[in-house]
Amino acid sequence: MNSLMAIFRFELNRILTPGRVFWWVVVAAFPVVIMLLMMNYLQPPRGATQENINTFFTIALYFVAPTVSCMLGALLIAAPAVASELEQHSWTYLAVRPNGLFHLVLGKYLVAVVWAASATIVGVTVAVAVAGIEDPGDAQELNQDDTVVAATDDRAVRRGGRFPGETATDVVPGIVATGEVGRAMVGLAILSACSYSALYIMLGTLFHRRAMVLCVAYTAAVELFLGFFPAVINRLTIQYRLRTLLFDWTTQSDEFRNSGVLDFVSSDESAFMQVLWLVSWTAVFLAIALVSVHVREFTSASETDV
Amino acid sequence: MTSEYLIELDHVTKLYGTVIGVNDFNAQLKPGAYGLLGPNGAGKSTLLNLLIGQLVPTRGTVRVLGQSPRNNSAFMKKIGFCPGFEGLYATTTGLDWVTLLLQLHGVRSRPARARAADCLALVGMSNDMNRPIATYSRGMRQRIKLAQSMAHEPTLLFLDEPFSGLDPVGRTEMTNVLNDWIGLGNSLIIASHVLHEIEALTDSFLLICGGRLLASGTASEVNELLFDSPSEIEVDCSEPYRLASVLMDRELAVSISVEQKSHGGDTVRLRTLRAGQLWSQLPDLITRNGFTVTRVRSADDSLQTLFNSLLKIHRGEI
Repeated sequence: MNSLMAIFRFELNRILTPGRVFWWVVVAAFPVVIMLLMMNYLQPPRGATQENINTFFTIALYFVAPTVSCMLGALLIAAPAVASELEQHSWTYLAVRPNGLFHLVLGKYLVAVVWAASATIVGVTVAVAVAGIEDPGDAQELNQDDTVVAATDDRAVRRGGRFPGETATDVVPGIVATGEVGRAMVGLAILSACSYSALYIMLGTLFHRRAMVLCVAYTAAVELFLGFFPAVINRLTIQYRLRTLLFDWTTQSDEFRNSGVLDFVSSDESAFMQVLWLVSWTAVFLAIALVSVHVREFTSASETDV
Repeated sequence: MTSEYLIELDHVTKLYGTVIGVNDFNAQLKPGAYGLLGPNGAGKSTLLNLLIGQLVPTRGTVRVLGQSPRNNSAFMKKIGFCPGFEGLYATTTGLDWVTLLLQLHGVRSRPARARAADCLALVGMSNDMNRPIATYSRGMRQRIKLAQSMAHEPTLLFLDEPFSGLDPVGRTEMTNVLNDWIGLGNSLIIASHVLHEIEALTDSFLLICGGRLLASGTASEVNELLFDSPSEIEVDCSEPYRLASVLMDRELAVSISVEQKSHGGDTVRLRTLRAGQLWSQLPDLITRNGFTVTRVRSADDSLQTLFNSLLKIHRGEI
């Protein structure tokens, strides 16, 4: 444990460079910027209910934060974890220590998790604060002509609600029930960071020469394409499990729930099972990475003067 | 250690695809200090990587300290390795780097830092250990590499070209550090293509070329292998030209030159194809012709000559 924490602290210090901190800020700011853009430039369709808009914003926030931000964060740190050590020839110093490679891989994994999760959680927290509105309830009861009956809470109005007499097309509402959405997003961010970091560590270890390229290609082809493919194959993706948790942990509009979309993009298994799937995959990915670094010979001919 | 041998290599071959790194290598070495000699590309680093478990032999078995070195944590605790390449983190300080590597041996943070500082002082880096490694000269980085290999007090040290980049003063200092370390009863394998670096540490060596072991043992033992090989000999003699003539008549020398010394006296420098034959006949020849000989010595009794001669034998040039 001492060795693992030593690697963790050392690697955490190493990534605190201006360049890496800049990327951390970019990853954290991404969901906030997207939410601001959506609030200011998207017009909700006429007749959309507060529940519909809330569901849309929640799904959008899930896609930009625990999905894109977390993926990007994990990708930047986890994918080159092994390749960078090999490229700068620092690998051997660590490999000749007792369980050195075990500690190296797990230490870098923990750094990737902390880095990706922290950026996403900060991003989600700010984004929810920016996009959140008080539950309109009575405050934004709609008239037959889709205008607001009355506003009892100025704060709700100021933060995205509609003024009395305004129509749904005049302003874009934000997220209702920010507590529920915020908690769900933080939980998903942590699970996403753990799962994707393990996935990228494994891919980066197996294919260290083109780690970043391969991880990006895998993410696009498997997680973002097959993950949304309405077939059995999508059950093998991290996205599928995270998405199921999203729909389990947040409230969606009746229209959305009755549309049948959920049958194709999420599982009907319990949330516990989804977490179990993610934890199991994380363990399998890390185990493959650890076996790989212990079985393979990373010292190449060019490094050995032959 | 269950074996009496420090290192046991049994028909070890290492292939990189179709390229041979080490070729049917056999050796049994008892604890001590050994030099691994060979030109660039001879397979020294491959052999070192096999010995520290970073490479797996394509054929044969490697045992070091009585154990298989591959993925062996107990073994890793006992060895130190100073690689030929640098591979140091540029933004990290020398002290932080050595401290981290000590912590990977299970040493807690504070004692690791103290031990790292002591070790860096040993290699003359006290004043610079808190600077980022990027600001170090090549010689300083060599010292850092040496410090990290010794910091956890291993019993066996593997050094790959450890003096590369060091100035003469640095070489002397590091040689002294290593000699002290050997004096404590520790073992050492040092790979180099510069012979005098090894001669300063040990007279036991393995000479390799093309991935093969050409010779092993002390310099004198290997010299015996060269009994009938070409050699240069210097003879300080009162009648150099007559001596030269006699040697040529008996076909004991293939070339002879006479040099006048600045303080008087002459030296006959001769080259022979059969050194052993010359050494056995020379005393009788001197006595019978009444030469006054004040000194006879091999002109090239350094390891460099030995090395060159063995390489020529290996290449079939002799």
